[in-house]
Amino acid sequence: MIKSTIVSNKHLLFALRLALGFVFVFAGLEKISNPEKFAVAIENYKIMPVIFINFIAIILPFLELITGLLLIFGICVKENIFIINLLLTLFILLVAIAISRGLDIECGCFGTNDGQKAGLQKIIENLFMLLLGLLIFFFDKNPFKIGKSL
Amino acid sequence: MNNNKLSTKDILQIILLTVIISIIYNYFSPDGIPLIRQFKEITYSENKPDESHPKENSLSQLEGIKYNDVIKMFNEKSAVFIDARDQWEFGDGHIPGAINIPEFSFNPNDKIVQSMDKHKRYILYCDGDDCDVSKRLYEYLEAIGFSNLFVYTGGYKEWIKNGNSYEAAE
Repeated sequence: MIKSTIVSNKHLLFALRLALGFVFVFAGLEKISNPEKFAVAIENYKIMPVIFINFIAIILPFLELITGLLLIFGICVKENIFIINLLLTLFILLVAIAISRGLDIECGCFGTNDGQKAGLQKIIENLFMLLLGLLIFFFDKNPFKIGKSL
Repeated sequence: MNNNKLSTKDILQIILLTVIISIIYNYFSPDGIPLIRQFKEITYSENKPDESHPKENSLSQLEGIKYNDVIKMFNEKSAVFIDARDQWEFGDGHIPGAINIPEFSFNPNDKIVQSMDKHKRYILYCDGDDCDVSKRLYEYLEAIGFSNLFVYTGGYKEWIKNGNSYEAAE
């Protein structure tokens, strides 16, 4: 199958992995630099009990950073891209809920000073990244696992 | 499709590693935040500052206000009332003269917010003791420079219970 050959091309998949990995590393680093502002950005979505917000604001940026780095270096690709795809699905749902509620808020996607709104454009961007993530999930054959490497 | 299987164990290891690293980093970081987010504590001071000597807001506390002071300020017209509830609740009935800034859709660039004098005295309220929207709105307004805010914790329920007048949308 021609289509299958294109999407399973290892150079293409490597490029996708690097691209998605760098996006997540960048997004994570921006948030780590100011957890309080990120916590406020989460709070603005008004979807989560206040007591959980800080915990999420501490963990989530590191989850983006670590999964992004592991993806770039090709370690546990399938597991990392699975986590990244889950996060992207969650982000799409959160932005969609924010839009449906008529909230006019910053998305907090890349730190908090980027001024990007939680809007339709964000959903399209995340859907595009999710598509790339699914390609990597189904077609990347990188066998480097924690269990085998350590 | 490849045949290397998704390892749940590896996923859990990655998440566990992330949780440990992030909590340790947060603990030692100068920008670290508490693990559990809490509302600021509400305090009630005996002497309410007047318009000419506005109070200074505390970083760790919300300034509360009790019914007797609320009534006094209402009669003196020395404070503006802000109803933090949704517009349909506001429409059903609110403290006379109150303006509605629903916390749910708060936007600092909103015309009403932009037109408000940041040094004037504002009393924020919602339903009563068990609602949080007035406290959240307090924090949002404080963050954009409002310096003379009070939370009326008794809220609209207490206002009505004491037989006070109210306004409603027609």
